[in-house]
Amino acid sequence: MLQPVAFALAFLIPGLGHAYLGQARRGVMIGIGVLGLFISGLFIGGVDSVDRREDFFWFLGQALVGPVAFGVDYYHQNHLKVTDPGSNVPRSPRPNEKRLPDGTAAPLDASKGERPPYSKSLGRANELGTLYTTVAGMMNLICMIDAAFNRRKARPA
Amino acid sequence: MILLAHRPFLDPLNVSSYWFVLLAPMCLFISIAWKAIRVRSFAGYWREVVVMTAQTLLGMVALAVAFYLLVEVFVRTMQNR
Repeated sequence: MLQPVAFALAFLIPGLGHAYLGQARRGVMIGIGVLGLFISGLFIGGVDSVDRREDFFWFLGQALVGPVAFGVDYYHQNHLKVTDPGSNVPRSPRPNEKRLPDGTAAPLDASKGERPPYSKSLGRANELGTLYTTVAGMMNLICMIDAAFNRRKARPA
Repeated sequence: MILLAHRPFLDPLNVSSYWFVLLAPMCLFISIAWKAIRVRSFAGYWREVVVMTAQTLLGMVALAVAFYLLVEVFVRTMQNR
């Protein structure tokens, strides 16, 4: 039988769908697996691993982790990226740029200890960070489908 | 040269020399989530997680060896013919 509430809850917080169905331990393990992948990916590749504008197709997979992926992307786009003074387009800060309170990019003064809001991730770090966070979304999709079509009510969890 | 402190989640790790080691925790987390929806009971759950992680890693090592042999041995042999 289809369980739309469990499906929606599994999307909101990984594992919550199974917890709603009375399988708390299963839900906790799903949460550890999915969020562990997502947080590890952010740790390896930095916040730049989740970027709706620059890596849209990867973000389609990452979005399946739920609101946490949208939150990370929102913070990245609105609080870390800089607005290019010439074109007014948001972009990653360069290593010699800082972010002003209004979001525009300005040259930084390294002697004052100023740093860019974040570093662009490149190479293996970016590949692994993106892979981890996208696989997290794919795993959560499987768990969401399992919660929606759950048939193991009688089984001990 | 000034070395700046690493800011977790803002700066990426410098993983260029050991990136392949990070495939192991990825396999572990995948196994944790996958086995959570596959097992009937949680008795022996962690054993199944470890077995799946090891199988996935061995599979990747086997693929790496196979591709190494293909590129470094088979293709070179064909080239020198």
